[in-house]
Amino acid sequence: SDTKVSRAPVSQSSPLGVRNHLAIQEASGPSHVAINAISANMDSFARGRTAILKKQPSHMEAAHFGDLGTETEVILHVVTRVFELFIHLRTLDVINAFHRNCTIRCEVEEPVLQPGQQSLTKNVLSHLNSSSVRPLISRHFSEFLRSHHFCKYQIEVLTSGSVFLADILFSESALFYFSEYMEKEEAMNILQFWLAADNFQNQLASKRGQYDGQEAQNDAMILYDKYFSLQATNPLGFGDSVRMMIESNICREGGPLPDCFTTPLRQAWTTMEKGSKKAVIKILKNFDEAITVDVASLDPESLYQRPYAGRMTFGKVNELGQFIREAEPEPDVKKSKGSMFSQAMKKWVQGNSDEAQEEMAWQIAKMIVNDVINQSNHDSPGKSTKV
Amino acid sequence: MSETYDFLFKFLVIGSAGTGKSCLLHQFIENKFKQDSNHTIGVEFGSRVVNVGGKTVKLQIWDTAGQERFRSVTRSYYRGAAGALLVYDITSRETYNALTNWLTDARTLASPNIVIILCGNKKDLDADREVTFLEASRFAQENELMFLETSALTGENVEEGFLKCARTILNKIDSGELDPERMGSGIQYGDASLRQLRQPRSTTTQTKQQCNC
Repeated sequence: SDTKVSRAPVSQSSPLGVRNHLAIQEASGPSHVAINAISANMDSFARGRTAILKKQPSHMEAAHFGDLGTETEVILHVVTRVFELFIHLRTLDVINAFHRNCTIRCEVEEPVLQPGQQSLTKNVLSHLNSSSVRPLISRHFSEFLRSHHFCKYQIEVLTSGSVFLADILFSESALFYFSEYMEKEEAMNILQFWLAADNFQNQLASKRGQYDGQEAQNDAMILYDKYFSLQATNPLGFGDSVRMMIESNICREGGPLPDCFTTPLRQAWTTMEKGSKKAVIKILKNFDEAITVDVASLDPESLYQRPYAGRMTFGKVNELGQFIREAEPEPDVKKSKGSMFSQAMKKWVQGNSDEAQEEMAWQIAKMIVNDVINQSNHDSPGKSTKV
Repeated sequence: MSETYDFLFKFLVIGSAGTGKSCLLHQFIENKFKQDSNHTIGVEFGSRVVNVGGKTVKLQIWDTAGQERFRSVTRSYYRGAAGALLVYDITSRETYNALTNWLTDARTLASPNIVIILCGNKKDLDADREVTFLEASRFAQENELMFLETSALTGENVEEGFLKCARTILNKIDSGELDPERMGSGIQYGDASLRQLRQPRSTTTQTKQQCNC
């Protein structure tokens, strides 16, 4: 959970104002944060799931996917496995990845499937890369994303104990339930503060060239008066040290910076994260209720059996396993490339920027995946299971 | 602490800066006028349980910032709202002229079925009036909005505005025009109505067996 905290929307403060500006801009975009948090959650989930797969007797898994028969279903099933493999690739450091791939590939082939299905799967695997099957796979992959397998997967993630705070806070339909939950828990102030301070930060960070110190200070003072001052109307209960730090941030010569409320934002996040586990269960309950037509004849399995549950998904995973949110399309915000200065700045810090690193990681992941596919194409079956 | 209610509605309060959105909300929730009101940073919210047509309805009200610089931030809260108060200031033509923009935003970003009531606020400042009742009510008619003139200062018509909007939503639920079970409807069943739902349903629900998702 350490990774999650450090990936929270509030970026580490840095002594350099401009760098800070960029960092916050990059880190605070809903999609960015959500993707990080979700992948962190999916990672830990996938790890846990693989461990379970290893322990579970093969017949149980086979029973789980007991309807495997036609080639289509096997492809779908394999895609599920490949999807899990991609999730692994997302986090593993590059050196270990090669070793792991083979193991995972063995899992795909061996413990999961019954003998008769194994050869079929191998067959499918060996055809994965052939040009005739490629369109088929890509079609099935998107089908998979809309299938009840994936829907179930998402619900499993939500119920697996991994907390999905970012996804709640950046998905309005979930936020609708979450704020109701927070209100019942009498924790509304924390959520309100988080939303307002996040808005303050985003708004300020998006100003770039047109920063108005006086205006920023006025805005910050409103939040200060409401949540932090000794006469706060909605006190959050932070100690003197936090209050004094905010005071000095607000009174900074030239006006407060976007990261003015970083510390309390982070604490609010942590607090909400603790509460959100319970909330997720409640939200899920509400989702169940929202999507069930006849509650009286509720069959839990039927929740997943909806062929095109597209609108129920939080997002999709592209062919590399990269999570693309679709829960909250940005209402056509024009993405400016920033001033010449900030572009130049980006170039300088590129080596350190998360974005660049992530892009690099994706490229490497792609290479690895291609490599695995090639191996499965050329290696003899005996060889591939040894490593 | 948790009150029981039949429905939970998500409401928005939108409109230009300084029209009194936060004061309307404050008046509705606290029953008093907020003297020293600051501009809203992004979004705030409040809630109140009301009785409408024999049903208890909890309104979860999202009060958005009117200032242009928060526009892109606040827009993201529009999604999945069941109702909205679109507020202008009767003493400021500028806020009235901006209504079309706010309306377009609400209709495109929130649910297309969103129920909107137009509120001409600061009714108490009749001497400084720049927008006549007639003009605004024509605008409301043309755009299929309900319309009221309100005063957050005196409290006149404030509760009525919220109730009217809630009542219309309830009517639409009853008539089948609105489906609370649709994702993003901005409507949630409360504990009270869930208990009824758990029992075998009446024939009225039989007609919507098919889930069109």
